[in-house]
Amino acid sequence: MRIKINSSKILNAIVLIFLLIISIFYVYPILWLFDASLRPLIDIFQVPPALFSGSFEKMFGIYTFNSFINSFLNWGTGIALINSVLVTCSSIILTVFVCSLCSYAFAFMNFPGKKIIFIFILSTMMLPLATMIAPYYRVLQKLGLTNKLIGLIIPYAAYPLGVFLLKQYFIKIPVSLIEAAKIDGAGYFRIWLRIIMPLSKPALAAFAIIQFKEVWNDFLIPMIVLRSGSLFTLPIKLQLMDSQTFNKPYDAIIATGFITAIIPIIFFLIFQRYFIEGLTGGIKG
Amino acid sequence: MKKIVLLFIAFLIVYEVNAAGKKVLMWSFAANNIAEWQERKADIEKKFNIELVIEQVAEQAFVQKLQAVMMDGKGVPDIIEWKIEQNQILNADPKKCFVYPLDKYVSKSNVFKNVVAGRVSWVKYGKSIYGLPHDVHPVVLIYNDTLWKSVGVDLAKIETWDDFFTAAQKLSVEKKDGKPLHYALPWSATMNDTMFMIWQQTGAQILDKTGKPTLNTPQFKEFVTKWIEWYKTGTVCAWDWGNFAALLKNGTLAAYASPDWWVPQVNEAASSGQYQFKVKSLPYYKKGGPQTASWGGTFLAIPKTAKNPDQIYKIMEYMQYDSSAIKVRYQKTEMLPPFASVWDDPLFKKEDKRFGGQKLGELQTTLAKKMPDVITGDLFWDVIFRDFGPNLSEIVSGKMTIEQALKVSQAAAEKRYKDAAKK
Repeated sequence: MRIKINSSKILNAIVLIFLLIISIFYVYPILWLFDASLRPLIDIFQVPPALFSGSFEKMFGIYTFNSFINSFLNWGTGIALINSVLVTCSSIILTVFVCSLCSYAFAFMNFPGKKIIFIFILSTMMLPLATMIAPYYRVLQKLGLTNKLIGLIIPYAAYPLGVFLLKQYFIKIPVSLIEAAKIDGAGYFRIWLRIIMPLSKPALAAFAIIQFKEVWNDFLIPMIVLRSGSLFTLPIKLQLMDSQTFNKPYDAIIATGFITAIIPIIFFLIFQRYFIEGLTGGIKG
Repeated sequence: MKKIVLLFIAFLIVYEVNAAGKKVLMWSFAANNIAEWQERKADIEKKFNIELVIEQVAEQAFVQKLQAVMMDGKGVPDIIEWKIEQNQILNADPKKCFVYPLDKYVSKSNVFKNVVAGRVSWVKYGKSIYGLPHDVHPVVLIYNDTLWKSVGVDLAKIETWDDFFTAAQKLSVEKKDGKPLHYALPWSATMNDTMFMIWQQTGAQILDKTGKPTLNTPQFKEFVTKWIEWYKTGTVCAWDWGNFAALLKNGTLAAYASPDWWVPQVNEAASSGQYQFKVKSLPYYKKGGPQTASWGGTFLAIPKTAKNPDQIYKIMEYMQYDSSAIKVRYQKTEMLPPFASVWDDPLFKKEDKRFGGQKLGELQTTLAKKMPDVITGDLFWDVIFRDFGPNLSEIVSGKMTIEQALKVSQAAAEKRYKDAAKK
């Protein structure tokens, strides 16, 4: 009996296996971080990792939450987590609001110098961060925003990539919809709120994910702006733990690292279907 | 006249009230040291009638933040605590330096003269002294006497590094899965750790007195050649920061060059009782040369924007070198203060159970007195880490000869020097 072989299925299987192998390289660090965060300090850097010891007792029998307890009780990770969530969520809301309004103007309104202003906004993306730190600090200092969480939230709102991404998505929305709304008596703000925003959910979600990653992981700007330990965000906490010149608290560092890493992953998983749609939709235009 | 006197007294009272509780802002990146400053905060505040505010700034953003606040002029620290080796804050050119030269203070100070010269060399850039070292970090050799003796080697009698690596080959004979069961030293394939410590014994400087890179000297080439020969004996393993204590405990690591802050890595292995650990001075690079080095450490300095450097210097000197406080520091952290006048205290002559009753403190203080001088500068660490480091890896992997690597490294370092001079 001859077995019919479907060549495309075999190809798919090969591709799948290949992708699975590649994915291991990406998933393993997170898996290791998770495993290490649940182990006592002495076992964290065991070679080979206890996870591959083959004995169930060694693999899972010594799991403990001590690293997390140490991290939260002795290193103030709880407050840093709250600060990070607060800054990130607030900045996403504010940035989406500001950038979508700005993009809306560039997509649907005509005003003098529109192109030049748009190019000027985009050109700010090319400036290296290092050159902007001193003026950035100076402006915040003058506005009385240093050492305040609001001093972190507001500046993120001016995000040129967001303006570009959303504008490219907005210009794909049929102009006839806007015209119809205008005939029905809707003003600019109403059109933005009732038509543009609901139709742009994928782009907004993609933008929110990009912004989440940027703000959540940002270390340099928060470290420049903030002074009080009670205002520090997770990336700062991690760096400060690592600043122990000896006897580094590796258990607390790993537990905090796991928390810092897992939250953006969860956020991405929730919004991933919008992310791809939003990016491709936006850039194609 | 009476009115004038009263007015003067009133002025003094008002002045005192205003001066009382003057805020002194300190930045430090070192969490361990901050613990000490916090504990001593009340005492320092009382002594100098100040309010001491201590802020921790992550080292990865320290220099950028300092630049930003100094340019703005607000929120500038009066004292900074920064790394002694990896340094962009100090500069041989006083105009380019972020901090005040302390020469006028240290030359008159009865306290500073007790700081060991070898350690002062780390904060001396060009002709000026810019900081007060917090520590001295003398390096000793800690070894697993049981393991070494089991292969017929008494490390106490080993005199030079050449002898050490010859003997180490006996130690690495026993193998499992083709790899030695025991290694003589840890090394991280860069000049950052063991190699950095042994390099200090050679006298081959990375920079000359004017701050120019000198990776092409015969002395440095000789050292690199020796190091590669030693590496090829197969007796060194990776420096595994997180797993260090476990490797000592299970006998994988049979010795390590250790500054005082890294000594406690042996605690668990020593207390388990399986092996007897011992300590000695580093073997000679060349007989008669230095038998120690220094690794790591911090210093206090005064940023140029600080308003009252005279008082700040006094505060810093007290923070670093108050006799009773530095003894407490040693008891808590095992970090030897660089302040030689306290070393005669019995505290530094105690028998150490971890090393079979050997007197670690006494060995450290003896060695610290003979700490080799190092010429440092703002480019020092970049030349080691960025210009030479990658090429060292190329030598090890056989992609470059030593001559090629040093030539390329020197060219990169010279370019760095010229670029820095233009700024």
